[in-house]
Amino acid sequence: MKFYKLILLALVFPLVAFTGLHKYYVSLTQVDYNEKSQALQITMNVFIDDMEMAMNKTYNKSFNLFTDKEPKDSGTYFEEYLKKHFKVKLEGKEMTYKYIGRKYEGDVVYFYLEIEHVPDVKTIEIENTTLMEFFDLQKNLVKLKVKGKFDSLMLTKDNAKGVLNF
Amino acid sequence: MKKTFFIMFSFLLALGTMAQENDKSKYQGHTDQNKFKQMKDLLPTPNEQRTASGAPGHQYTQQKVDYVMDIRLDEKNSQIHGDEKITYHNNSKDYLEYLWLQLDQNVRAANSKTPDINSDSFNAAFNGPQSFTKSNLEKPFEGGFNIEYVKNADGSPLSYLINQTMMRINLAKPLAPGETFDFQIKWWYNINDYFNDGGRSGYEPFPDGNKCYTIAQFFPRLCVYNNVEGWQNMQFWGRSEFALEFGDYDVKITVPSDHIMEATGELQNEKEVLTAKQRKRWEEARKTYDNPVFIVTQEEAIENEKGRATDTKTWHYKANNVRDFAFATSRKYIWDAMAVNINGHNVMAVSLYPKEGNPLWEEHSTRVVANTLEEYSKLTFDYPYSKAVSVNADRQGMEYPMICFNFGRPSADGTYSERLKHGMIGVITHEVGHNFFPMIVNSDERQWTWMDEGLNSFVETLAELDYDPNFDTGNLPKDIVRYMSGDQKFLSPIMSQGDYVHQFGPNAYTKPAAGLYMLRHTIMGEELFDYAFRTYAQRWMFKHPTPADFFRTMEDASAMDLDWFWRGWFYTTDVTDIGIKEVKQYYLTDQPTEAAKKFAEQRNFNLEGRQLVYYAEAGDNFDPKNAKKASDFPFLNEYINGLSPEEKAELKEAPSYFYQVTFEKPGGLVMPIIAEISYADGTKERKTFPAQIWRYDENEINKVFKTDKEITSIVVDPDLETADVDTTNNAWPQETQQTDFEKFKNEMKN
Ligand SMILES: [Zn+2]
Repeated sequence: MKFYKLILLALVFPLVAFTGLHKYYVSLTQVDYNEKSQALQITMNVFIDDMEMAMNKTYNKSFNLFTDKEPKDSGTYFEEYLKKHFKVKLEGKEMTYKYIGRKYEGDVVYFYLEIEHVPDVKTIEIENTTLMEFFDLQKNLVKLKVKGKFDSLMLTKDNAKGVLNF
Repeated sequence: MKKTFFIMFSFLLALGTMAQENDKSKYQGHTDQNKFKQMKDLLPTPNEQRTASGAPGHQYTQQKVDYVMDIRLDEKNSQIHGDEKITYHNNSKDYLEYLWLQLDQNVRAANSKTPDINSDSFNAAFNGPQSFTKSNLEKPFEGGFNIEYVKNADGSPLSYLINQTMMRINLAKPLAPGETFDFQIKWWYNINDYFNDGGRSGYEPFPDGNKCYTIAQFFPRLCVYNNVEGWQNMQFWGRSEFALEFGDYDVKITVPSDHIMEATGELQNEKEVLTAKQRKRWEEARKTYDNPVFIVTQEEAIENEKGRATDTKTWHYKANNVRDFAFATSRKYIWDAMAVNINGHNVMAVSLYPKEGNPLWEEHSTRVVANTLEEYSKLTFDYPYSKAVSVNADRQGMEYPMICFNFGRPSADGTYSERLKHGMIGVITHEVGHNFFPMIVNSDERQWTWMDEGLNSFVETLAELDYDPNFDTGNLPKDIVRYMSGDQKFLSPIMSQGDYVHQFGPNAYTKPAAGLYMLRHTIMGEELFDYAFRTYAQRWMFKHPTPADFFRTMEDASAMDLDWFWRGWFYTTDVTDIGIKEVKQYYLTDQPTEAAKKFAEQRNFNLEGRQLVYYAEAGDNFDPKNAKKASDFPFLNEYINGLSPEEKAELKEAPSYFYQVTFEKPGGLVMPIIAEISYADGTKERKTFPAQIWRYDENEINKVFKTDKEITSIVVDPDLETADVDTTNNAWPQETQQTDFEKFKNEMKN
């Protein structure tokens, strides 16, 4: 069979099934601390179909992502959605980030977010509940690269945030 | 002779290093951990059923199971009723005390243990009204087989036991080798709404009350018995698919008279179930190779779905040498077909879809089926069955012999995105492709998901690239980097049983497909790979191959030792990461270098008065300004002048530039090193060093480049062929790579 995402619905619905729209992957967020520009640079990628479904349901609107019919102001909605679901704390303090934009590639949409004026990163807390309100089995993987060190978090609905020290 | 001197020189050097390491802890022994260690410890010992070459042996046997079935669809109650006569042929050399059958429908039974093995919690759980109602208010679905009887051929009752999804038939006396056993089962079950409740088959409801039935895993099916698993009766938990025997099927299916049906096998009673017009159109389709011919048009289907016939029709199919049987039936279906010429024999490419699938389906489905049969046939064997049918079933993608169920629905206004179109082309190619793996090359899906999904996704990738060279297949080596570089806690080797794998899709589909692509494209080359892959497919057509049979055939037919590749890519979660650690430029000089002096001193060796060429690095005591050319050494010229004219004619121009490149390998996988060398004059050159370059030292190796032109840069794996998880160490000089983030940020500014 083709491996689909309905595996995500497996908990919502009582029986196991594997239908859906495309192969199932976790969302991936890369968080890089750029010492030179003193900024935390974040790239999050999510499957377009999932994101579209989440946006349609959240805002009760047809987003038709990556088509001619995509609303011109979709960026505003993305920004609002992400700010609700993706949160970063540095040294215990919640940070605001700038939504730089989004890019489509194949099945995936990339979001670019940046936190400026970060002189150092010691303790970082990341919460990512993107798509979890629709897919019980959504996994949001966060990979970090800070001062030459690598670490990662696998966030799930049961465990949607994590803290790392560098 | 100068040659001898140099050999001695390197020998002394080796002794020197050994002496330094003369330390007691160095005597700590170890077993063979080399990446090129042969797979003797991983593969089963070859035997007369499965040879060391990877082929079926002279004692290879396989059971055969024939089915004669009378099936009735009760549309009003959404039930399937079946009368099943089974003939089991014991072709093995073993006596069988019992037979095992699979009752896949029991995964949906009220007492199924499948929901019980999934953990659940209320942490952060929220439900919309629909899913709240579903999970809290709805009564559980009464699914699963209701077995009315199990009887001997003479009608006497036959003893049996049901353990979840498996049923054991207790034979009165063991079934002897070469004997057959006839028995019958009568059963029925409630058909599930797969669209809302999930499942590989069932029905999809439509607002007007019509349903499209895509029916599979619908009858008790014999398990595989062989010399690998004994009875393959591992429970069906819902994920890992099936292991089935080949046999002949004779199936009659009774449905409302206004239904249109497709199924595994050849229709036996066209005259009884098709109109004269439909039969004429079939005749036309059998001669048409360029465009699908409608058997039932959209207008006819729209008219047909308005009615509700109360009488029935019985469709009769026969299929020989198939491992399973499935069918699709509904009064909603549009039907088209066209002929495909597979190496001189005609195969029908067929599609069945409701109007909701158009305009996408009439445009692409049958054409994609045809393309798939052609491409797969080239890479494996000529498609041996008479047809391949693609049925449109929303949210579905599932394969059976000659028939498969595929998603792809435009929006209500008929528009669709490129993504949806690609998804649909992808799923049809994939599911039709499953006819080859595992419907014909019949591996054990319950045990090894990758053997059908991985091999199929690989051939699918090549077929898609043939349909559209720009197709984003998602199965190339670069596409698996994201998975392989992920948290090791959530990775499993490909050689894992599917039910406990975390990321099933990347693990069993993408990673094996990307690996085989790499093997074909980068490691073996198309000619060697294609011959070996075709050999595997042809050896194991209509048989039951295991992973060892595949690994062994690929090596046996190509004279390539690939144990390192199977061991790394299939048996571990190691990653590829190869980089350039440093590049040193060397110059020629007649002055002894510090290194040479030190070396000679340690060995009481006098360099004074010797005519030697030294390789010097810039720095300390050497200025590249003083570098000499080969022609500047009088003793070298003298030596060359002393050669015979024939020997001289064999010499080439001396190189002008000397580099020593240190490649490092932080990743656990060994892989070929693909180095792209750029020269000062703007030209480029590719050098590929086989993976065996890592056989002595798997962390670091040196390679010398002697060139006529100055090297300006070296890049490892420039085309992303090896799934390298970290490309920041791939270039020399280290590119001050603008990160993707910065690139994007700059683009946004402009
Ligand atoms: Zn598949």
